[in-house]
Amino acid sequence: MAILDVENLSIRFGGLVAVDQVSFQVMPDQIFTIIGPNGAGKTTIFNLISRLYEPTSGRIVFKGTDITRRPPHQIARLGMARTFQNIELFEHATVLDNVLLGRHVHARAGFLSQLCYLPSLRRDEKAFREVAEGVIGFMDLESYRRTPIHGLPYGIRKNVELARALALEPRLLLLDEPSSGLTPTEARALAYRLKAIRDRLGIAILMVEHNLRLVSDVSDHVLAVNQGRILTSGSSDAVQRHPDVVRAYIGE
Amino acid sequence: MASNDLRIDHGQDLVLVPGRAAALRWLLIGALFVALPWLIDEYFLSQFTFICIYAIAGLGMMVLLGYTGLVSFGQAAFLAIGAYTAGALETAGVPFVVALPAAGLVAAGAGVMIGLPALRMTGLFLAIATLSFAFIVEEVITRWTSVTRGSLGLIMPDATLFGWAIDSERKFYLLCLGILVLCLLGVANLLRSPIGRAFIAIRDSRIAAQSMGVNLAIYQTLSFAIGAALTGFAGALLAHKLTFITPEQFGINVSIEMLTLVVVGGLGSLHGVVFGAAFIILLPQVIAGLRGLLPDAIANQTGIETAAFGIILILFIIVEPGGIYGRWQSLRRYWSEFPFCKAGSFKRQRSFLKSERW
Repeated sequence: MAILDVENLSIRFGGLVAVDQVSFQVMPDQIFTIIGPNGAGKTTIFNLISRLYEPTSGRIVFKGTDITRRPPHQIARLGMARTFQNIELFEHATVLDNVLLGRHVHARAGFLSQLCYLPSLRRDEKAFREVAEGVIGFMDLESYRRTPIHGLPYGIRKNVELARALALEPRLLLLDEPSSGLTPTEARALAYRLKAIRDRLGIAILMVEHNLRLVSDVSDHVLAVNQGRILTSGSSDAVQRHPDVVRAYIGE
Repeated sequence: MASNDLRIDHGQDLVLVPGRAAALRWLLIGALFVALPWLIDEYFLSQFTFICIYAIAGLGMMVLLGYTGLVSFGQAAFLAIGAYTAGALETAGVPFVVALPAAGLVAAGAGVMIGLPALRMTGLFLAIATLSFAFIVEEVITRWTSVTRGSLGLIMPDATLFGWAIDSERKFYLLCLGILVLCLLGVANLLRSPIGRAFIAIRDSRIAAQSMGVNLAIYQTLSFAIGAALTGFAGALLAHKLTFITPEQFGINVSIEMLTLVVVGGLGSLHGVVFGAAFIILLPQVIAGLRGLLPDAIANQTGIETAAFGIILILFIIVEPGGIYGRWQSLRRYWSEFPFCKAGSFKRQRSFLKSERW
């Protein structure tokens, strides 16, 4: 049973059909990668799934729930977390506070107990910190815990964003170009982490990625898109050798 | 200092005052302010009462602009609503202990009213909407003479606290100080809770906040409600401090003072609220003092104070966006590393207010 089921998804911006009748399924134990040249509509598909864009037609089903018309903040509550291509962090907050926001959907305390910092909230906050510190450890961010984001280098920010998404304890993680801007060493560490997220944490991953070595290394399933349409899908090797994919990337 | 950095339990992250040294420092500062009425004369004490009141009002603005990134040019309206709610209720015989929370609640209601339509607006549009709201409130207060007595003004009775009359400057200062401390504690608690983190998330990236499950509608409205309630409390206290209120006292210049307060104090810091309030109250005193030194042609110009506020606001935005508190922190860092500091490490990071919020 698929964790994410996208059926005939389309969106039109004015005269431009940015995503055209795209369908695919992500399984709960999969790393599913979308590849394609610039402007193929990969990020648009992401923004449709996380409900930032309104689809023109089609259906998105997540964990058996139709989320096609749900507002974006409810998507996180259902167990889907995402990162952004151009890193969207809370610049003037510390790494720990950024990661703690990942626990927002698990917050239960009412206004009064937050105003007075009652023991019930204290218990919650302690539990939130245990999860957050676990994620911070997993992402090797211990030494930056108390540093505000605006002073951090790019590679670290990428990790903070991933940590924030993991702190939500999602069932599905959407990663928009997780390796862009990373050094080769950092990219290798990322590949290791992605597999650990799938195998140890049991979280499915849907990602957009350009680094084809990373794609072959970690992907269970690859979907190639161009100009909003699906070119082909299957195993990483098969997709990368497919004549349509080769043509889309390097021309005739 | 080093011992505080060693953490062996997450509970250590949850205390408001980390370590004994900090607790002692706060105790001393607190004792100083409680002893203040017996240390200075009544005129200066009165200025400190104003600082407390402005700090409470500024706290509301800080929650809105400093922590949630929502600009409001209508704080004077919430101040007026608080002042007139308390005024009307107390004139009708309602005791102060009921009128004060009522002032906060009615202002919060007005905050929700302006917060809900403001959900579709940010930046400049929100500024204009809140500004218009302030004009509407001022006009309503002027016309609604049966309750507010319009431009004739409303005379405030002395506040009573459970039968105990607050009839001297000394008692009233202590009352304002107490309420300020309670408000500061409440806001500090909220800010280190899920609500505060959601506010900061909205301020720094609305799109990421949304994707992490923050309901923008609820939290922006909540921010407006809290910001308005605090300003409403301040309004009730201000009415008592002034003893006589008229609609003109809550004009656009008060809203601009609030904006100046948080920017000059330091956006995104609670210390900044108190520093900013002290700045707003003491600057006119300094200008009055300087009047004698200026040539007559300048000294007798009207609007010198407004101009000074404007110029200082602009200078802070350009030169020190961290405000007084930001400057204070970099000074402290400088001294803590004194012989080993190099100028470069204290240069300000170029982070202006994000243009998209304006």
